[in-house]
Amino acid sequence: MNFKGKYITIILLLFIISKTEAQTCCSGGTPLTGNLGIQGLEAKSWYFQLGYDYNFLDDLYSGTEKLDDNSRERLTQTIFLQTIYAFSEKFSANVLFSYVDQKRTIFSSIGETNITSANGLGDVVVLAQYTLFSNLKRSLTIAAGPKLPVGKFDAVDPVFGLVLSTDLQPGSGSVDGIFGGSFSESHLFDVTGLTLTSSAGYRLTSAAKRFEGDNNYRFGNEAMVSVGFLKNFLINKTGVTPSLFFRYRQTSFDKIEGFEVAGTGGKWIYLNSGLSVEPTNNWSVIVSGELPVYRNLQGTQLTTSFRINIGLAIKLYRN
Amino acid sequence: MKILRLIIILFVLISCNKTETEDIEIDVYIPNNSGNSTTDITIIKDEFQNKKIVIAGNANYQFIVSFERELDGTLLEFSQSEIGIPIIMTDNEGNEWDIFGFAILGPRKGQRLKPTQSLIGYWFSFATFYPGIEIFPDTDRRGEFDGEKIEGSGNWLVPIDEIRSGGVGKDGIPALTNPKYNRAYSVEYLSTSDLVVGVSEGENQIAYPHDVLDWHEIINDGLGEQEYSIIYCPLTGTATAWNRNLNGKLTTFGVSGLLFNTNIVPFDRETDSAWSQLFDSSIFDELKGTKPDNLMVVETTWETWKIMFPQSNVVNFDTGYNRKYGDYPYGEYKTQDYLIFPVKYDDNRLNPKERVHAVVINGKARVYRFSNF
Repeated sequence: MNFKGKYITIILLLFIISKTEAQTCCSGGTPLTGNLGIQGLEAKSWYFQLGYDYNFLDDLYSGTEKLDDNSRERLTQTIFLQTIYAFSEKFSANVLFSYVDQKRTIFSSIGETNITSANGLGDVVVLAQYTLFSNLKRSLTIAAGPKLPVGKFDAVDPVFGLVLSTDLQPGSGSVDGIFGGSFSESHLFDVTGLTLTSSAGYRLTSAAKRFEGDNNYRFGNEAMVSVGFLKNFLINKTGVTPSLFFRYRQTSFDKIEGFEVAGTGGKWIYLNSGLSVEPTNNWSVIVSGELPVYRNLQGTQLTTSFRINIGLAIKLYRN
Repeated sequence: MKILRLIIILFVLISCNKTETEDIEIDVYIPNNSGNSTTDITIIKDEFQNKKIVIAGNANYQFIVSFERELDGTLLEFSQSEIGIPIIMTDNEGNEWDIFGFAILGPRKGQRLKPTQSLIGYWFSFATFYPGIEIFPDTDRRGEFDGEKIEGSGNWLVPIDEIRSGGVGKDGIPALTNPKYNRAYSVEYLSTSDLVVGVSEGENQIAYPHDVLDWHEIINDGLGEQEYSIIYCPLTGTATAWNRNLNGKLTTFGVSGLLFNTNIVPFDRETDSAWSQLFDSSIFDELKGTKPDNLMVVETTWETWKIMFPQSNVVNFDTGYNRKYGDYPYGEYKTQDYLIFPVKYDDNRLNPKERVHAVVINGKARVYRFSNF
């Protein structure tokens, strides 16, 4: 495939994913798809990233309209560990573990604050990755695999001991299919260190059994596309890489017994800005923040106000 | 005769709705009932659990009300009133009775029929709370769950494994207290087919639109001497009015975020006890076993209510909360067969979302379908 052909393939891939009927990790759900970090590696090398994701929700939206409401907020904090091992230049495995803490706060009309929280192991994503090409100029890696429902799905509230609602559970309870890819092109516009970076992901969900199997709940499918730039600098022998990209996310309605659940699903565009500091070639510290710039939600939903992500990444090469 | 009817209606409307504090010019809506079959009130005489009752309704107006026929030891015979709504029944003594059971004209003027314990809601909700429920007129076929009973577990009066977390949390759906009103004749924010829940006390009435109740579920309010809470569950489609004076203490109710058999579980702020609307009792904590004092409510379309009570107060959308009051928050839930949360007894004799009127006597229930009216 020549250069032009590769570009067309990538653009088509991104287009197809963005046009596909999409997801829902529910508003407060585990942000797995956003943290996949699909990337190729040198053969026989390891990549580890220990990360922390802070997702704060206190914006109430109906469609594209922000409603004036301060009666509730949600916070999802996730610690995740990503491990990638490259069996060869082409094939690698990517595994993502997570530990999730969900907190819901309600400010009642009489001045009371009611907090409900749940935490536990989140679901695990296992991806097989294939690097179509990777050189000094460009790289393209695609991935596919399951999200396994090992996460806690039976968290209860401490007052009554009742099973909490689906969106407060650390896990989703369902086996989902994850598909995605990432593409980057370095030396963009012949500028040294300027890189185009893009990724796309799609989560095809399945139904989970709730309430002793009496009820099927299926989160909506989720699609995500991000495109942006990063620029490498070398400051006192330390690599510094600021990044800026847009992330588009689309989710479809959740479904109960096959019927759409109102107040789920929507379209979001986020602006994500990050900074990676690499003291050596082997490890780096990554910090990023994300703000929504467009939201179009189905029904009325509490949605992300901002998100912060911090990570420590280590690469271990064969030699 | 027609002119006489109009004069009587005008007199009744004005006398029913005059206010003590306001002198307002009003448009009086006079129903033109002559020759219009949609205003026919169907009257059904029935006996259930040894109680002789009368049920009156109109499918187009989407109301059904029911009362005990016996008053002061006299068994009354009812037929449709010739006057028109809000007067719906006349009796063999020459009394004219309105939709809330008040005698408006006749020798018993000022007296009131005793309303049955009854409410309108989706069929599935009555079927699961009253297993073996009867469907009028085919009352001998009680379905596969006849004889089943709801038994409590743990410290609850009901099975704890049938209590679900609804997902919104305690006060996640904010109850309203002392809402603001508009006069019915001036309301433009409701559509003719919108449903309202109405209460009446003396000469005054208040209507609570489903458009507001869908988003708040509980409205703590008062009318005359009565202090009550309108309790509405969008998932079962049921509305009740509970006296909020509990054991001599005035309280308010809030939305706990819990559901029992997919029906609202309110809590009172005085003791934090949990209640069940359709179980008609406190089900957990200090007041467990306490029965609420129910006030009669009438559910009907906005168009009908406005005709009946043009001077009544109607809760408006200025609630202090920013919500899309014209939008139904549960998507296609009203019209599709599915339930968001499972119920114990899934009785498929009727469509689960068919709205019916249930009369409850001695813990047993019988439903009346709008198709009967």
